[in-house]
Amino acid sequence: MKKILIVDDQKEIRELVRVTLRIGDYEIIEASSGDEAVTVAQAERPDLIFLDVMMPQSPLDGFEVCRALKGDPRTEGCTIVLLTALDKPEDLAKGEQAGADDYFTKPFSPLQLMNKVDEVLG
Amino acid sequence: MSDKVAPARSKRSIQSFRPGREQWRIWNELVLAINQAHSQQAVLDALVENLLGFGINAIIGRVNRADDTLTTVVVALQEPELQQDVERLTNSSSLNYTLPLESFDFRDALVRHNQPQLITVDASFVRSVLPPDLDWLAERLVRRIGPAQGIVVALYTRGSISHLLFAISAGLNEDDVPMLTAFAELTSAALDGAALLEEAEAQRNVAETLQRVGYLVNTSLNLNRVLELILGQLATVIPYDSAAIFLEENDQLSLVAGQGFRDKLLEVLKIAVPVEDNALYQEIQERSEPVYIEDVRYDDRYTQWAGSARVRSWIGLPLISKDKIIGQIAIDSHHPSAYSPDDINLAFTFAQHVAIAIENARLHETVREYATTLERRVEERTATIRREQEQTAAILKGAGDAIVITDRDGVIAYINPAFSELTGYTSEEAVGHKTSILRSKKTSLEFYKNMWNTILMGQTWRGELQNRRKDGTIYDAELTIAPIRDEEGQIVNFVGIQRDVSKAKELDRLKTEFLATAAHELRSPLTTIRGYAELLIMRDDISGPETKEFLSYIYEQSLNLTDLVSDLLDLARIESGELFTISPEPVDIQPLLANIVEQWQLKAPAHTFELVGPSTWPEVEVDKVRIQQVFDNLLSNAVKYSPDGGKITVETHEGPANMRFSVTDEGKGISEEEQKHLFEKFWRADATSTAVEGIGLGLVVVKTIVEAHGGRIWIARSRPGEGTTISFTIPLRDRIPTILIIEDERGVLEVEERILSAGGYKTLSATYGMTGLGLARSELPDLIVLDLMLPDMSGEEILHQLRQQSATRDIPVVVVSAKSALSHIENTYSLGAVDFLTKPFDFDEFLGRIRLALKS
Repeated sequence: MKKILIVDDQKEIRELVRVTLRIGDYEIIEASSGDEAVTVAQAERPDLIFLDVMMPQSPLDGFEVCRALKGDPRTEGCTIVLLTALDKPEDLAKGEQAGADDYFTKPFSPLQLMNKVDEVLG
Repeated sequence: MSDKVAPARSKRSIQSFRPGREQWRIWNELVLAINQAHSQQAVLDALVENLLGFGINAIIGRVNRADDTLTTVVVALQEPELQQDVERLTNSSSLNYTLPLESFDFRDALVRHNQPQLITVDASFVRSVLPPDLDWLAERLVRRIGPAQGIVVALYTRGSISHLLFAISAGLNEDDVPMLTAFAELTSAALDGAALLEEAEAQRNVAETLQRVGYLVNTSLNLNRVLELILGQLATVIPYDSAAIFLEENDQLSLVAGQGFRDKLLEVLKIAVPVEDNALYQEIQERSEPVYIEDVRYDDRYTQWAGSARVRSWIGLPLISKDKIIGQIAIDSHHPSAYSPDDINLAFTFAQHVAIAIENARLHETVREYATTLERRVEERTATIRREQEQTAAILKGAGDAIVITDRDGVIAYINPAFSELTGYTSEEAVGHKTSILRSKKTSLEFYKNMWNTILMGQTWRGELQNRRKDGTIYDAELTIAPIRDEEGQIVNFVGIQRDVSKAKELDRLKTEFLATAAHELRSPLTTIRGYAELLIMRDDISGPETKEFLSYIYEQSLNLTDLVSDLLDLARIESGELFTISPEPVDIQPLLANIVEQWQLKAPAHTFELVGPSTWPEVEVDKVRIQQVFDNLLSNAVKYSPDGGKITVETHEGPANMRFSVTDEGKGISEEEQKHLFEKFWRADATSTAVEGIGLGLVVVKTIVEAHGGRIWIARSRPGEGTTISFTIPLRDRIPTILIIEDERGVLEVEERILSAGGYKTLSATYGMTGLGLARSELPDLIVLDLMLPDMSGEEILHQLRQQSATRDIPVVVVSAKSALSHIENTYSLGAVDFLTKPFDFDEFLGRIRLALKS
């Protein structure tokens, strides 16, 4: 069973992604902050990570988490998809530099999110 | 009347006149005296004196050949009493009485043929030679002298008959004629000599006068004044009753100077008369010589003149300059035939010099006028240039844009005050240096090269670049450089005008950022709404309880969205400058606040909310909806800034003037940099990355609402990691203004308190600076009256501290001090005092100034 990590500081968003993906055959794990995400990812080695970029209360934001995971041999292989409200070209470039594989801009469609999972893991 | 040549009646008298020893002595004396006389008058005086010595009365008359009259000039009588009478009568030794020569029947014999005449001096003769009103004198004369005999002989001057001598004595007979004739001849010779002497004297006089005229001309006086003075000098050469100088200009003759005329007549004479209407002047022009009229009454040419009716003799002297007649001098005498040919010659000589003097003076005047005009023009030009320079200087000085003037090489020659203000360089520091002192490494060399190429080609360059201030900070400059050319078109200077557009650019940046932030803020709730709605619509695996839960998420976020949108709309309204209106009404604030706190406790159960305040609350006048918006914003921020929960306190405090509300959290705190910008439009803490969502949008709105209520908002306390307190005030309704007096002298304090209470104000007082500052912060008075000398700190320090704190920054301060030095007053104003009162002051002045300050 493929493992998917959802990182977002907002509980409703994590729940939204979990409910969206529960009809598929995946193991869903969650993290509510950047540092938690790094710890969990290193331990669980998920196949796919949905990573929120703006987490004001978190010591690490999404870009930093992404950079950390892509720079770690244990997690460099996992696919990272950013969830972001920032869609200016320079923000997207920032994500690319951090090593993100893809991105979704908020507000996203849960159905499109599912298609993305199928595409990446299927 | 007198007899013709009368036969001798008595030999006795002749015998008695045979010169004896005594007579010879007298004769010798006469010869000596006469020859020593230097003037004609003196000669005549010597003659009669000696005749008296012979016992002979003598009367001498001057012959006026022009009108054939005789004017008495000397009367010498033996009888002292009679002499006194005569002298008293005439107030001189001469009677100065004129009668026609024709009244003497011996006229022709005497005048034409020079025959001495023997006459009988009886009452009728005496009466005939005296004025009618002197008949009484005539009778006395005859009674005392005569009947007597008289011998009349002529005296000659330069070959012409000039005087008649009447020698009268009881004993005279024809034998005495030779002696008298000898006397007459002797006298005539002496008269000739005296005339020559007088002439020489007159000529010397003329020479001296002309010299004086020369001096006059060279003075700085104007021509007309000089000519008047010249006429004064003329009087010493030739006596006159009136005299005038006329100058010809454009075929008109005008009087330019007059002496001896009555003012009215002078005005008339000053009217210019065409030369063609002036026959006399025409004649002078033709002859280039003086014209003399011995009696104007008998001369048609003169009657055309508007001269004085009393004028008899008239001389017109041509003023000849460079063979041209430029005008005339007119000399008037009230006596007919007043002038001799010698007089006229002298006057003519004088006139010739005057003409030269006039010409010189005119030249002088022209040169002087030219010099004056030139001088005035130079002055005017100088004034114009100075005015233009002053205007330019004023424009440069007053300009809001930074202006720099450089030479061709970019070396600074001038900077205006705005330039100093913008760059930090004073005039002394900048002038003489190149403008490259402003270069920042942020602008490429290529850019500068391009700029220089443009302006060296004589074109104006416009652009934006980043410049460096003296303190190293960088600013965005909008710069225009234009060349200044000299008259030949060569570029001599450049003028650079720059404006700091950092703020505008920053505002632009903030606006862009704000839009991104706003979009982001909207996207967060939209993600939840859209996502759950999509799941609810598309998916069949959502359970009943899940449906309800998801719908509540959607509902909550839609409420968030609503708040956001209304904040955005408020912001838009504030930004557009539209008046932010509120609808205040009396509100019991306590239940309102309790309700708000209760709602937030439900919304944020992780935090503990507490409402602290007095038991009774005064009624305030507020816009209920807007005040709720203020609290929602502040509480929402408090929650966001303390993610780990903790206590959130809403505190109220009733001051004399205001209700003060404070919201305190135990969260992260706000950095000093953030505090500076917290209430600024579009500013949002660390907007680019991970800042707290939602903050920034609301605080500008909050500030606007508070201020619309007449209150103030500020960050009362905030330290990183220790939480934040934000306070705001709402003024109490119908409140009495409170004035804080900070003053250490008890006496003064009491007076001020009394005056202010009488003026209807509440007062608070402090005698130390520290307590004063404390009261200012806690009570927020409407005004502070501040003494400058306090025991613990200076008034300047207090002013400074009041200005440092946002809570007290806007409280007007009136400084009261015994120090009245201007520098002192200026200093306190620069520290933010609104008024300065010098001790001692009076009641009305103090209250008036307080009232004014409160209005500020």
